[in-house]
Amino acid sequence: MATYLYCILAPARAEALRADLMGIGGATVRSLVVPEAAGLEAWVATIVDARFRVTGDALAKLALLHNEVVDAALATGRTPLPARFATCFADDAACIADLAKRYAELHAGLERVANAVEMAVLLVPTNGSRPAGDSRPLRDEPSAGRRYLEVVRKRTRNEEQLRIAAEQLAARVTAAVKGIVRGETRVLSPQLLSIAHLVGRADLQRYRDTLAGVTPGPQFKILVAGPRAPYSFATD
Amino acid sequence: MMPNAPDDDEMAEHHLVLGDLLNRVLDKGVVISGQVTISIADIDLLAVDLKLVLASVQTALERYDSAQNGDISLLHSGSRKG
Repeated sequence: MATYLYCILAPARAEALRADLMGIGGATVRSLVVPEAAGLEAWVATIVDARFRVTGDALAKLALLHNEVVDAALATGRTPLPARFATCFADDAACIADLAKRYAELHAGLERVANAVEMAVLLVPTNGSRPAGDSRPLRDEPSAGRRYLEVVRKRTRNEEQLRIAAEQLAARVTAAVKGIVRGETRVLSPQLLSIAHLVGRADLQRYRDTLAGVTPGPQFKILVAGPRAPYSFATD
Repeated sequence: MMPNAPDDDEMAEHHLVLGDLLNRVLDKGVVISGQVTISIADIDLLAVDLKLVLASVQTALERYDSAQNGDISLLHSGSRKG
């Protein structure tokens, strides 16, 4: 048995944890108040096995269950600090001891995200902007080696151009929402450029309206997702 | 009456948003001292449809390399941030 930590919240007010909220393994989520940390509240559950033996799809499902609980915390109107997925303690006492030890840092984190949510802006290349991709040469084709290298070089050049264009668009997005957002992080992957923004709850409509005014051009589509818990801003 | 199936674009967008969320959930969040253990049985994560997850898994594997611990056990010390 172990205590699984979902998220941490500022000292409890009236909003209560739903009694029927269940998380990973169907375990009921409990609220753990930490008097040694000025009443800091942790949402936890008792799980049977703290060792997550998972493959891809199962990993994704567990992560979504983790997020459902964190989302429920966000829905109370308070903004939680999400714990890293699969954070477990031997028991409640061990969890409380560690939270108390880290109180100053956790308090600063909660202050940073208070009354805010995370929004995601995804810059997705449109089909037309993806490199057409010359076909690979056949093995017995004359000059197959040279043509293969040319194909690779062309693909690399196209991808680099797309990356530069994505970063230019990201810079326009950043400039547009500057003054509205409290923080920003970026993650570049082969599929897209993802920007996370920390946005005050009261500023959400202005944020959405501002983004709607950013024209992505023919190479990209802009997807806006959220609100979600501030995973990207849980640490400095 | 059956509802209309979402078109391919809508589906693709849904997967991208979901993949981005999973990437954040798996790779971000406050690290408390305590134990974070993710054991990946057969490391067949290439089967994952949501490719963004792979970046997080790669992070896990890199940590595993430095931990050299049998299973992929991520032991976070109190001083570690991520």
